[in-house]
Amino acid sequence: MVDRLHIQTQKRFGAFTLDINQTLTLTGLTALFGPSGSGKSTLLRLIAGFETPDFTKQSQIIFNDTDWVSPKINRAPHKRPIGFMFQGGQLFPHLSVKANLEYAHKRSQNIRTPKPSLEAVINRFDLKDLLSRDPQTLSGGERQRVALARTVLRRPKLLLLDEPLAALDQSRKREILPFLKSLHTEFDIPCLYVSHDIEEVSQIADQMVLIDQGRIRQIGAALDILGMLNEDGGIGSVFDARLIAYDTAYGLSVLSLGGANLVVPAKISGPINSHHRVRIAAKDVAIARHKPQDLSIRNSLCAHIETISMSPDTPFALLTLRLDSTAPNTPLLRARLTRASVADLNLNEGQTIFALVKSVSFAQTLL
Amino acid sequence: MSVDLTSLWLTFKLAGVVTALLFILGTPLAWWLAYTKSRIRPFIEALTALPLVLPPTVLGFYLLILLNPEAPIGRFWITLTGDSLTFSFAGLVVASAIYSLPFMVQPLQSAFERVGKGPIEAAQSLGANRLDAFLSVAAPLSKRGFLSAGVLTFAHTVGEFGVVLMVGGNISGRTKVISIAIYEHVETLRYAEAHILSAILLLFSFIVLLSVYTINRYGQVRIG
Repeated sequence: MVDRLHIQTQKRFGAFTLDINQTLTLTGLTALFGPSGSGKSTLLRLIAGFETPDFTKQSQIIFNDTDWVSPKINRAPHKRPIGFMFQGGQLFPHLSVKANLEYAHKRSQNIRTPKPSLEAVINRFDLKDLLSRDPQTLSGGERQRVALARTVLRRPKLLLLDEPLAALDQSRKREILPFLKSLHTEFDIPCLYVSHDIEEVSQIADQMVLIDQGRIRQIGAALDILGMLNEDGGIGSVFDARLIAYDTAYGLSVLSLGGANLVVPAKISGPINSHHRVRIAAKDVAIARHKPQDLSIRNSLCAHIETISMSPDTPFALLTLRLDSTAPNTPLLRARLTRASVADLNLNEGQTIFALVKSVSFAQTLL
Repeated sequence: MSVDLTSLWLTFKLAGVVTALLFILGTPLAWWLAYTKSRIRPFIEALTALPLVLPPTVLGFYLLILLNPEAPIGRFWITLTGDSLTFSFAGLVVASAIYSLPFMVQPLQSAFERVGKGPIEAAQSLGANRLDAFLSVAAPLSKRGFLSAGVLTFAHTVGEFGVVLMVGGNISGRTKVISIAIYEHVETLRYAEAHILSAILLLFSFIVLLSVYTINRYGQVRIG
């Protein structure tokens, strides 16, 4: 079953008003992404019940078929089946690690969902050696691991994470990320994940909700949206690629982008069949009408032109390309050409062309 | 020369009852003050702090007017218990509770504010209702606040004079507490008795404060 969260709410915060009217389909990990102060944390706190909407009479927060906020109801946080991960973990300082875990376990006894046992969770999050410790004596990474385990023991139907990695350095992040991923893969808990860190999001998000100045700007598959985000490399596309071979003689790795093969001049760390997120900047994609020959660029992928959008104020046009032989939900490849080239080559939507990929970058691998 | 055991016992009984009563009434009030967003909060805060700045005689005077048998509250109390609220132990409890209220509420309020919303929200997100979150998280994290509040309230009640004199008068075994007994001894030039009682109060106050500071310094005990 796919969980749905309907949110219709307004809340003043800082200089903005959060104004949301949206039904989110929650599968896997959904990142609420936006700059600091854009309202994403406020939204998360409204969903948790820590904040009350400004006009309760016109507000609705409905999870599947249960009203959390409606004109007559404002369900207390402990009556919403949520887990909440705080930035600093919020472990109870007066309780040992074990007592912190038991705190959640004890209070979830009457929830009728398959329950992970205390022991299983302790083992899964590798906490055996920490049980008797005081939270104050834990490192930041250990603290977040305990906090995650504690949240799982609450047996939530929706997990809200408020920048849980923000206080950690890179190596600690790397330590926690696999556990974050396990929340929806192993424990089957859909996650709403607030972050302003594109690296983090590009590693773990399945879906993305872009928030800016209190409003939702865009919702979609993470790979699609990540490709559209203007970063240093400008517009591009992001793929979930699988390493299928490594050519030791020439030092080339072969990646499969949902069926289409891409040759990359690097030894990719990781075993055969491991997954890697790669980004192809639109400016690094060229187009040929016919299968090119005698060319130094090794990657020429057969594709169809889906859309062509001209930007009249610039010399450029942006093309989206569907790679042939790829699985249906594979993201589109984006190519940036000059408008002059589009005219010279007489390119049209629907046409079959060859996309020449000049370079590929890897999302910094945290996993 | 004898130690005035009756006054001594009465004083500690009064302080004990008032402290217990204020734990019950002051805790929810301090909690509310710490977390409310209500606009009337400053008014309630000012009212709570009033006994700190008001001369005890002013407070005692108004209480006398409110609690005397002719006034509605005083009359109601008589029909309820058959005893008067003025010049009685019950009256002393009411007056002392009002007079010592800030000594209970302020340490608790700042303790609750120090705990902050985070741990409470964490408890709620783990399935604890508000009372549960208070008892299992906020209260243990505020235990020093409770200790200071209790000790300060008790000691302050032991040491009060003006309000007690105004509302309770000087009836042995009923309203004559130590401070009034000392006053009476001095008035009647029995300095020896005054010395003993004063020394007891001095020693008591010092030991109380010493233990509070000691516990605050070394008493980091983990519970649970």
